[in-house]
Amino acid sequence: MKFRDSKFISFFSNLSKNGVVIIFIVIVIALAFLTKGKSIKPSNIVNIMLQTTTIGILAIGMTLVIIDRGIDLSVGGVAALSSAVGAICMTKLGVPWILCVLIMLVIGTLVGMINGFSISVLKMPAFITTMAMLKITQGSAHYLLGGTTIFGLPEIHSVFGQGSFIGIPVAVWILLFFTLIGFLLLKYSRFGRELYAMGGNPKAAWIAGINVTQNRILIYAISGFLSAVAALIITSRIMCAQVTIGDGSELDAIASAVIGGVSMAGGEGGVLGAVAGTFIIVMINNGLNLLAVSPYIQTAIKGTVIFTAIASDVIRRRKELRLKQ
Amino acid sequence: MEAVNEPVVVLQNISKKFGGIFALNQVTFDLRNEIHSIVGHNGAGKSTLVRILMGAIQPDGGEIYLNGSPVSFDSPREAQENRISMVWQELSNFPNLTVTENLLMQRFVTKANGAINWKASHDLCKQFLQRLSLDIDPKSMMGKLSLAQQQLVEFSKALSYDPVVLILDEPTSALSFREQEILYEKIIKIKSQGVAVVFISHKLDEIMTLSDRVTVLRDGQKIFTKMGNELDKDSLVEAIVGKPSERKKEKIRNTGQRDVDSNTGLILEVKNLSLERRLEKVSFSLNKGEILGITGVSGSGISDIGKILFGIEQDYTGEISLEGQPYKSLTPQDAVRQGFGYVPKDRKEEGIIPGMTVGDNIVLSTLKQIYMTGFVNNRIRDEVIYRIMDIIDLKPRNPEIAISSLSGGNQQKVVMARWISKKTRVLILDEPTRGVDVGAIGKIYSLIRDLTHQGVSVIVISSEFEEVHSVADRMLVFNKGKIVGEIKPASSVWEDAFALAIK
Repeated sequence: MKFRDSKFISFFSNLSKNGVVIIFIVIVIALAFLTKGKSIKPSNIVNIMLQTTTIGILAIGMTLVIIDRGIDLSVGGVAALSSAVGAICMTKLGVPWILCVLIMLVIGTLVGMINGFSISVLKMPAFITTMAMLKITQGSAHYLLGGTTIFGLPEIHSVFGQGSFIGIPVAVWILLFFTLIGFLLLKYSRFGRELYAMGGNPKAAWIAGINVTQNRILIYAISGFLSAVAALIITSRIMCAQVTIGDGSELDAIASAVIGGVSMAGGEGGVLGAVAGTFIIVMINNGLNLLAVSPYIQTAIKGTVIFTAIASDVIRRRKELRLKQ
Repeated sequence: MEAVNEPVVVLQNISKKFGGIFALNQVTFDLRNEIHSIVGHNGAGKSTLVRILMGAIQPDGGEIYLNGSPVSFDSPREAQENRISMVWQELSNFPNLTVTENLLMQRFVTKANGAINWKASHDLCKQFLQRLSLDIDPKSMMGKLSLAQQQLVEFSKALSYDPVVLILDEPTSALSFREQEILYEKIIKIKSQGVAVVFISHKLDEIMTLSDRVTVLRDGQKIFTKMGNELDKDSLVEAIVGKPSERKKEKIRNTGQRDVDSNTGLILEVKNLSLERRLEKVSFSLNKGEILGITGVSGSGISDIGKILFGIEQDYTGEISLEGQPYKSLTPQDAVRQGFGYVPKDRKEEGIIPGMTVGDNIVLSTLKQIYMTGFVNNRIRDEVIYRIMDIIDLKPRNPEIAISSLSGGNQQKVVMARWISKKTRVLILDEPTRGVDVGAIGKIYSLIRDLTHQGVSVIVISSEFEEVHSVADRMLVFNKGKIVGEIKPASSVWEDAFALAIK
């Protein structure tokens, strides 16, 4: 079988190179037709953007982690834990609101640093380390919340999820802000260059004198910090804290990055692609909802999208490798 | 000894040219039930001869006879089917699997239902191990065995295919001196089971002890084949590198304007450096602006010197001082901060970042200067990149292309270039011309010379004696983890160094 030369393969390999844009346009047009224009109404677009914010923010952190050949499965748990602590501080302990926000961010960053320390210094494998951390944070959040939902967050807290600035929701501004920072960091900063080098060839990066250990801790700290930022937005939107807050978000974040061209093999990709990838995922979800497709099959469709994205990435890499030889 | 039996393999008048140069010129070689060593320096034609026998390359002329009838092997697989086996220099086993699994991979004893019969498989493995009287538990993990034991399992594996010819390519180069002894005993045992053994090694001691016959190659020519007991070390060295009177005096290097002033002062001093099994009480010093060659055959410990100095290898004893100050580096990063640069032996694995551009690869170790504020200064970045591309004379002069699209020689220049823009005081190069096209070798060495004019002191670690001789101010010769001599290229030929390295 001439598997390697088939059109099937080249379709896949082209897909992931300029894929995000193409998929994006195809999906927008298809959904607009299928929903008879409902999907491109301004109100729905604002809705999509709001949904994009939290996963998009997680996807930015995930992008850094995956470029370094790692993975962070703990993001949902970290979001749950920091929102639980934040809500308790705000309601039961009466800590000033702004301090509570700070506490939430610190918790996220600290957990991320623990992940980073374990992975870079203790050389624990990222997959299982962050999975354990997911359980640790989730369980702790559950315990703190006592299995209930904490309501009664101060009115001002609604600013992140419900406020808007020049007609655009604050949450979207936050996403744009971190996307820009992430983009500049990866493209123009020393840290960014070192990160791509670490992902491209960890041993060579180490021998070139790059501080691999410190950078790796920083990467996971950023991912943890951004998980807490996502927690701020979610709690602000629903004005309560509950343990299910980040459920499954790690997979959405990974999927966003991969669809957006971040290679699981490391050293490749960027935050713009990842955020665009989030957009695609959210749009598919949203469109299927508008079309009243069964939620069960929606999950299967999402899985298929992720599967396709990874397949095209792997096939493209193999093709490039063959071209070089 | 009793090498009167019939030849198993005869290579008759074998010739092979690479790019117009004879790698082998009319070489005749026969093999019986014996231990037959092939010796010669790098490029003498040893590996070409063996690869022709294994069917990995085809000769341009000559015949091969197996048990009296002419044969030609198109691939190593075909040679193996004709019971010619080889144990490679590098171990290629599965450390995470048991000895049985390593030995019987793809041919386990199975039960009627297709499941693996572990007991029978372990028993079979034990039988194979017993042919060499090895006391190794078939159930133990390969990775838990010593290197020597692993090598012996490889021998058992090769023997389990019932070869008539077994080729051993530098089987002892990774082993400690004590472990080598065990291996010799087993190689003799292999011969006693009717196998014809081809033994390739740089170590004259073991060749003298082991060989029934020795064939010496030099520059693609056979010098002689002699009985092992007719040889003494001096005549063997002479055969390998030529008589002192034959060594061409014009090969003594004209150092030209390169005025090596040893009064520039020391930059680096190493005292009693030892590393378990690899290095024994090594002491040397490096002058400012000097090119010091560290040479030795494979397994002589030369690579470890670079690894220790650059903070890759930690478990050493001894003292190092850098410009009079005690020096100790815990990581490469630490070494870089103190002014060291390092070009690793394995360019693909440890040198280049394959996914990045040429420009990004060049500035990899200079990021701090270019990104002073944390963010890029494109003016400085371009300035640095273009300046360095000019220094290393990189073609095409385009920093935006992928590093992997460059030739091996150009990739190596880029890896070296990383250290040019830094305030590098001591640059260590480990086998800088490995996998580099012939045309680029000279350019790499002239680049090394240029660097010293900028005040960099250079250590070139290499097993290419002739190359090091052409570039170094001094050559230290290593043999079995010790310094056995110091050669000045200005007053001696490279063969003198090689003779010391194999003695």
